[in-house]
Amino acid sequence: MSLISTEFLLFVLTAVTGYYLIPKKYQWIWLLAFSYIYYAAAGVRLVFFLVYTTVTAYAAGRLIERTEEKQKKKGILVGCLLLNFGMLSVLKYTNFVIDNLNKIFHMNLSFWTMLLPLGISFYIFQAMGYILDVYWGRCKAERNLFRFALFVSFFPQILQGPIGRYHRLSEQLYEEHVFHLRRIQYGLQLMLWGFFKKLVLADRAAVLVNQVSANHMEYTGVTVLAAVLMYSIQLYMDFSGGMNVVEGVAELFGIELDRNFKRPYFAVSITDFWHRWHITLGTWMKDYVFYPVSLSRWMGRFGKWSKAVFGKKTGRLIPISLANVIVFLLVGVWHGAAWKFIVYGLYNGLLIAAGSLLAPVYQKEKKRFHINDGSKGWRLWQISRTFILVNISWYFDIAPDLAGAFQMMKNTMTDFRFSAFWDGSLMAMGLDRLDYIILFLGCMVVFIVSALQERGVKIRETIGSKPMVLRWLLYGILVFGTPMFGHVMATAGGFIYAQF
Amino acid sequence: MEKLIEILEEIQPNADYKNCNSLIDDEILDSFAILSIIGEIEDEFGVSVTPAEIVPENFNSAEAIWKMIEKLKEIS
Amino acid sequence: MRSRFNVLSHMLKILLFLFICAVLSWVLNQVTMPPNVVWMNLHRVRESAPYDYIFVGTSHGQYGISPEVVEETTGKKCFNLCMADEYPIDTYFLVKEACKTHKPEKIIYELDPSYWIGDQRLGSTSIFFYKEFPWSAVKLEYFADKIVEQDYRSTLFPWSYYKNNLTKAEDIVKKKLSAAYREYDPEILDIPGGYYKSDGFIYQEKVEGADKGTFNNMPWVEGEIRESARIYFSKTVEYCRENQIDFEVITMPVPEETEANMPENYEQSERFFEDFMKVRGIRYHNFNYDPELEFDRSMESYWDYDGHMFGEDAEKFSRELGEYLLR
Repeated sequence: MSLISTEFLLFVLTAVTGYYLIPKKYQWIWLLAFSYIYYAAAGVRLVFFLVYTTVTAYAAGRLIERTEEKQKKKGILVGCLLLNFGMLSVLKYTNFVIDNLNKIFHMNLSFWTMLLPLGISFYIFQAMGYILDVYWGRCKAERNLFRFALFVSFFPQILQGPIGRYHRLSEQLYEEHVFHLRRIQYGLQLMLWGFFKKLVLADRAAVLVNQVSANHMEYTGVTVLAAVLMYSIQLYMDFSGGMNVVEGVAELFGIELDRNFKRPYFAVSITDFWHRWHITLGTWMKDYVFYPVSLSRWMGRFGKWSKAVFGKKTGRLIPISLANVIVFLLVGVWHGAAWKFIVYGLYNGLLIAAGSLLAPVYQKEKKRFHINDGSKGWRLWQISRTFILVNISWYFDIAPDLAGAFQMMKNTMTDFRFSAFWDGSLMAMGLDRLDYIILFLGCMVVFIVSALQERGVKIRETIGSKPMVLRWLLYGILVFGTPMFGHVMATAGGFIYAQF
Repeated sequence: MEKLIEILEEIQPNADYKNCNSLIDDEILDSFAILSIIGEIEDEFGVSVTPAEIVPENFNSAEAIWKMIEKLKEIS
Repeated sequence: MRSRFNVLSHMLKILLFLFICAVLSWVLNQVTMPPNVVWMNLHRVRESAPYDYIFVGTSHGQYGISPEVVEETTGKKCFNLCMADEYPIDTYFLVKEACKTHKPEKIIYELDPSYWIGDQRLGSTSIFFYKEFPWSAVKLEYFADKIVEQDYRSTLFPWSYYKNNLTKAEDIVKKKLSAAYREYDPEILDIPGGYYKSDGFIYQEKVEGADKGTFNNMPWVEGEIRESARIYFSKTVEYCRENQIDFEVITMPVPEETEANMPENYEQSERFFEDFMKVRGIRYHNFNYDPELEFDRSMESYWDYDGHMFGEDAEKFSRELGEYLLR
């Protein structure tokens, strides 16, 4: 059930209406029932995987809490992590391993035909985060299996996140919610905003991206560059638009999900970018991989060694940087079983590591050139630099494989003629003048909204305080603007992150 | 406590460690800084910090970090 | 008391807002969607029933089967419900809709294999048939089976697929207010190079030297068969069986040049469908492999390489089709 489909809207309408009509103490059961219907609608057999993760994580949580002995606790934890990440790896990476074995050893193993359960990368992470929290004593284990099942399966977020945290999400799911008209309004506004981003901007930008990525060897220069820039529009509008719909739907139930985006293209560094882009994946990795790896015994030993060799300051940063590279390798692998994603992760990890290792040098240089950290010009430079670095990483996403990504980078450099902007090359890519105008204006709208938010303006509250006529006009524009300026894909184009 | 502030100043200068109690919430300390601080604390005070301790409540102010150190000292 | 009044007035305002949106959307539908062949066909098949034979299928049938001529040969009253972009799922609901008032003796499905291995384009074509259906249980089922899975614009803002017509709004409104529109006069339809001749048949005029495009047929690949095509074909067959309607399948002759462009693919699809129909006990005839066919399959008879026939040639072919149906 796609987030933009009529059936999804009808499904949400039914769920919300019933939610506020039934006795409040049953609300969470209602949500659980709808969550399972939603998941089963994608394939009844897939429910097995969801139940598997739910039951193993629930049982492990209870067991860990009852066990006194430290070693035993650890055993249960590791067992549960293996059961789940093991399943995820088998489902997601078997074919990747087979492919590489075939290539390296010239074997002829045949691929598995397996279905990848929808949203599995998201809900396993959510459940495993919970188990680690229980293990570390950060939260109490859930006693009610069904309540826990709701935490794992809450339908708005199960397909593409955000990855929720138990201590923030669970209480909201179980508590009773009174009908608040304002909340409903806010939820609907967010959904409309998401539809706008997806249908007007993401789907339109996708036309050029698909054209170039399907024929990546053919295009050069400005055209490739344009495709990459379009991809930065497509991916952000698609993913953050989807998140807006998800957040909006959750808000209809009175539930506030963790934010996944905070105006990522305003980031001043790659580190900052990952604090603003797919935030819940980043913080998950930080809390459950980065810290544990950094504080592990072998990393401690490595740290002592590196301090002895490289001196105190640099030596301290080296193990942290190494842990960070490991985290981003995982982020890469999380996105998919392909070398291009591994390099994508590595690229991000190394940039961040280099950034922090070179920070002292950087500081010195800035002093030498009298650069003021707070100046607008400097900030603009930082933002542009980060945007360029991020766009380089998109090559790995667009290209069909790693070799393709490097080829596309090379192609960008060859035959780079600015005349492509006006000689009609860009008009032959499936988008016409009007499309470019709509893309530009639409992006400006998102940009202005983002800039206002960046300054701390609360958009929905501000709109709410305006006179009725103005408000209605604005809502009307949002309701009608999307179908009026929306792009119609030739064939169904789903949300990108619903594939992970 | 004096020693702790010294460590903090060295790792992340330009912050008011005496008064600020939103070091994490306001993103004054990032994850690299937190790990650097933990490394120094472990060397200086002979305690061992586990991932379980890395929650905002333990790092939002110098005082909170100090309290955490005292608690860890008791355990070890 | 006061707060309850507040909530009520708030609710009323929201309802008013939704009402205004609905009216605006309705108006946009009216001014952007021109009268079309589906609208005409559904009206005729309902109003001029009963029919003995109803043809369903694709644009090849729409341009190639003259119900008038088939009727002359067979003595059976015929209607041609073949239409461009009609995929098996649409065929199923068109059959149900056509049989609502009267059950014909026979349904003839004009099969174009490429409709089984491709997806319908989204947008105007995907709601093309549905939107002309009058409200009924059939329409509701159509909605639940197909439209509901598409993005919400199909349901709430169908005009969004016709927004390019906004510039022609005046023309469309004029047409819809005319007497011709009320009387379902085929004159009102905009058919480039041809006209609506009779009961669903479009007669394409011969123009010497006109551009016939190039080959753009999809090569047949069995692995590409869409699940939905199998399901809805079976459902159509099932429906006819339950209602004691004869059901048979034909494939229209394509230009020899088109077939020669990828002969193996044509043979593969022929073998596949021959087995497919045999297993199901369905009479099937592919005119491309009919040794007795006298119809001229050179490009002289077609206005494009896809295999759409000129009107006069379509009438010649229809005579042979009628004779085949008598056998």
